[in-house]
Amino acid sequence: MTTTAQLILPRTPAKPFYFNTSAHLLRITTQKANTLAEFLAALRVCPDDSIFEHTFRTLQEHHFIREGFSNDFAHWALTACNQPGLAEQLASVDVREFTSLGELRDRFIQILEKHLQLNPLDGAQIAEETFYFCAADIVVMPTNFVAETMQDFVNGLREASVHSIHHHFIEARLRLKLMSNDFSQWLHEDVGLTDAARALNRIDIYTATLEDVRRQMVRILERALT
Amino acid sequence: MKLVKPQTATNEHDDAALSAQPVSLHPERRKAPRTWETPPAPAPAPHLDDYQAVAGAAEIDELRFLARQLKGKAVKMVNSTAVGGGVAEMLNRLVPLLGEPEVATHWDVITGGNDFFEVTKAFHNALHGAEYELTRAAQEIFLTYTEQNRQRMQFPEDMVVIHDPQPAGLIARRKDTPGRWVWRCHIDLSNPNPQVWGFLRPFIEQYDAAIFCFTVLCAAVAPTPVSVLPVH
Repeated sequence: MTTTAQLILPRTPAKPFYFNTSAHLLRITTQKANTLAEFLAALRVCPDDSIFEHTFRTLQEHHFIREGFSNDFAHWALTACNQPGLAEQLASVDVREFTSLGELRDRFIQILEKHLQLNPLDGAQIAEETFYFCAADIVVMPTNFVAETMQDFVNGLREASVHSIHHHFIEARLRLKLMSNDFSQWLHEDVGLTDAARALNRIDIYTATLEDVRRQMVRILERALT
Repeated sequence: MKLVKPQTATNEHDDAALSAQPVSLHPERRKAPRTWETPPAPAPAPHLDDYQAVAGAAEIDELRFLARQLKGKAVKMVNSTAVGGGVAEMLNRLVPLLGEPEVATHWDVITGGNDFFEVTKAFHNALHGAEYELTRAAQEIFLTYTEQNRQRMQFPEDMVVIHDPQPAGLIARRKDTPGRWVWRCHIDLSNPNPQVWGFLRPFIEQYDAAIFCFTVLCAAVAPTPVSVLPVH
């Protein structure tokens, strides 16, 4: 009688995974807005860095919030402009759907244009607080974590800083120009763990802190390896 | 020979106890609190690794990596007081911490009479929005002490960081120095008194960069490049 043994496949990666991280120095740009009309005008011309800062990067700064925050534009519309409907539309923009900042900017512009078309008087209302468009100077750095085996990779995920998790999991989407992230790419291309790669990519970054994301990734990988 | 007991009301020993234990000749002095002849030793200097449990080992490694880019450089911090104030508390930790990755950091403090500190205190409140009439006399006091400090201090460092408005006027020495000048503002400039801000602004605009804690605190500053260190 034969029994089906549980397979524990050694997963030796084709190449190592180098955990990097990034540091950001936040700059205030020359664009600012006191009304929704000024906000729309600034949104059209602000640098791509600014769009990145207020959508992708802000998730890192607010990674400890599980609900009620998705991007700085939505937050300002709600708290400074008292526009909950507009804020909800701006908050519904999921950065994971985008692979270019141009497209992301266009989506926000579309939402604002439509709102101001339907509510022209809102454009001139003075906000409680000015919105300052910021951007960040980014320095990418190596870390001590290099994964040559799957165990190394899981250990790296456990020990790397949240900045490193954000760098590889969220910021990577723009670098790779794909709706994916560094971890999933490596798991799929260099390890052959395609299902685990997809599962990682589906983790919800909006209702989880980066520590939650870390824990979920480790759980997914531990399940995939047994 | 019989031991003689000192004649004090507080020293009630029987003979047996007396023979077994030595008796203080001046017991009342022992009850007085001791006075320190030398001040207590200063707290030990902090180390980056002390913050691992709070910040995380990976974050400390990141700081070390960033600091490597500044290795061999020298930084001067200037503020208005060595003790008793948030900036002094901060620099007490930051200066030795920067020394650990070999970023030579010197800390200097401006000097001035009571009149100078009364004026700068009024400036501080005015910059937070308090009503204030900026007199010619107040301006003269600020400028006089600024000039005294400017002549006394040296700035050979690669970077000079001036903290808050009190030493802001030192920027006039910039042209004679090799380094970059940064203004670090720890106060709220979102609604400054226009007269005081109008007086200080020409100094601030000469800095290479300014750093604030929050974006909303720096409404008044432009076109100096402005960075923000978000406080979480």
